[in-house]
Amino acid sequence: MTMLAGESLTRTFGDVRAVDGVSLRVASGEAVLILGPNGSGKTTLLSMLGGLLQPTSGRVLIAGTDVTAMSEQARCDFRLRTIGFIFQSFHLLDALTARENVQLVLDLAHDSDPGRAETLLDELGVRQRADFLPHAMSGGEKQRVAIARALANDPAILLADEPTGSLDSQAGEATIRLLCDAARRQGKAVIIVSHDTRIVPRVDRVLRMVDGRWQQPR
Amino acid sequence: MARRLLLREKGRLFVTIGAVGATVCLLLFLFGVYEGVKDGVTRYVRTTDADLWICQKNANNLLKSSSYLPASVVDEIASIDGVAVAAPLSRLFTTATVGGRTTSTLFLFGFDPSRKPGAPRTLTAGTTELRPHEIVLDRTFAAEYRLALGATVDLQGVPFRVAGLSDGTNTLVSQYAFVRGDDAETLLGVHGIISYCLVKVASGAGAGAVERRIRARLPNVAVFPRAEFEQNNLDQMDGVLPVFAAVGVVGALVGGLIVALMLYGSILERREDYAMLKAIGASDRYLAGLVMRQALIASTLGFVWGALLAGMSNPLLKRFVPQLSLRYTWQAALAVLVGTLVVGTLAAVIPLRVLRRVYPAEVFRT
Repeated sequence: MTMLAGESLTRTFGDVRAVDGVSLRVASGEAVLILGPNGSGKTTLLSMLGGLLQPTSGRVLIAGTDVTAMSEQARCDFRLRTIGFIFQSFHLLDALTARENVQLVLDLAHDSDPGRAETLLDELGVRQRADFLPHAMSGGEKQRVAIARALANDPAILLADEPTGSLDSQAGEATIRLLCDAARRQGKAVIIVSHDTRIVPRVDRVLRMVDGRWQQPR
Repeated sequence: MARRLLLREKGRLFVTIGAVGATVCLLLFLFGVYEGVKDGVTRYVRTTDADLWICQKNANNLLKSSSYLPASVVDEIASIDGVAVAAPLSRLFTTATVGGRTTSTLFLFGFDPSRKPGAPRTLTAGTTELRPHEIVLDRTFAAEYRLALGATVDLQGVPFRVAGLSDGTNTLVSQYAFVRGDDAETLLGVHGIISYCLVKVASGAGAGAVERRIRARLPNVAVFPRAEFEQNNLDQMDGVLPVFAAVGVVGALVGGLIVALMLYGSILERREDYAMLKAIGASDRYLAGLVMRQALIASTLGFVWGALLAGMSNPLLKRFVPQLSLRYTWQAALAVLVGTLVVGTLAAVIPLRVLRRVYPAEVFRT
């Protein structure tokens, strides 16, 4: 079942076409890797797929709902409940502990399950770091906390931007394993944007992007 | 989270609290001066045990109007039904000489110690049972010129011994002093003239009825119930209110800008955090609340610091600026607290505009 679909997505910045008529479909339980050099448009594509950036033309459908037609506020709420984001530099709030960073998403969604954050941190192997601030954690631990945060609202889609970019090879390997496991075991659609080719064997499908377009037929 | 975000930037927070506190201290100080002066221009009238104040026609206050009455009016008023006591009060403006130094101008009142109305009721030391050539000085005036009980001041070349110190008799620009009526008459240099007649109404007579009888008997004098005369004196302060208000508004503006600057800098510095929050689904309302809470926390802490600063500086001000009569009231503190929170909330408006221009997709830039 197609969970996420981008149809003829184009995004221009002035005269530059960052993404040029790109389409893709990702099914539930599928992990897709988008490879491409810097400036190829893959992060812009990810932003549009995640409802963070409106396409200049084309549309994004999530579980059949046209996200691009929503108001900003509705899109914001839709993101909260449907999409989990993972970033290269983790983007944990440095003022909050690991537990509080995860709990933040639950609070935003008014989820009152008190043990949810703890459970996720446990599943991701960082429960012992629950009360630590991000600066006291390693890069791998931070990324695990970030994944726990992305999973907090049990989203149907996970979008990861260079998730291994700030990690050593061992931590990067573990991160990708966790993401792909989430796709398979929990039936989530996972899109990973990266230029790290070590991820290739772990995913179901690889797409290559150059100059805002797919390099080869899907 | 607002508190935690603020505490992550302790330097910025402490500078903000310090600056807002200084503004709050300034506003409390202004209120304190205003309340002190207000007390100074009204307490004597309020407490001197006179129910009615009689002055020359067209005169209506102690501070800014001249009033001359023939001394014979006192006996005439005393004979009116319902008047328990009628007492003369003279007023003149004079400087004094202390140790060869000329002082600021005093409002000098001459009262009759045997008839009571007219004597200051709030003494910090000494007595109002004055003998000839004795004087009661306002305590702040005495402090300014280092005069204690038993010291001597010269009024127009005549030495007066300080017999008492009064409180609530400081109008900031001038202070009250009190001598016997006969001494005041001598200093005035004109006999048979007084400034006011103070009336104590007999028990059960009714001030309104006595007032009407005095008006009927003496149509050429002005008669005021005590409350009205007190208000007339208070009205004379209207001229200074705009000055206080202007300084207060500038102070509040500065405080608001400081809070705005702190939040503005914080949002710019944490731009990617706010972008991340937007990306993961935090609504504009949630983020506005977050910024607003930071503004209110900083403002409240600034108020607490400012109030402490005002409290701590009070003894120092009393010592080094004795002519100031500061009165801190809980109403003034409440007004400054509410003002601080309102300004703090308004100060969040500019940073909120910046926040609106943070786009969730920015989270991918770093």
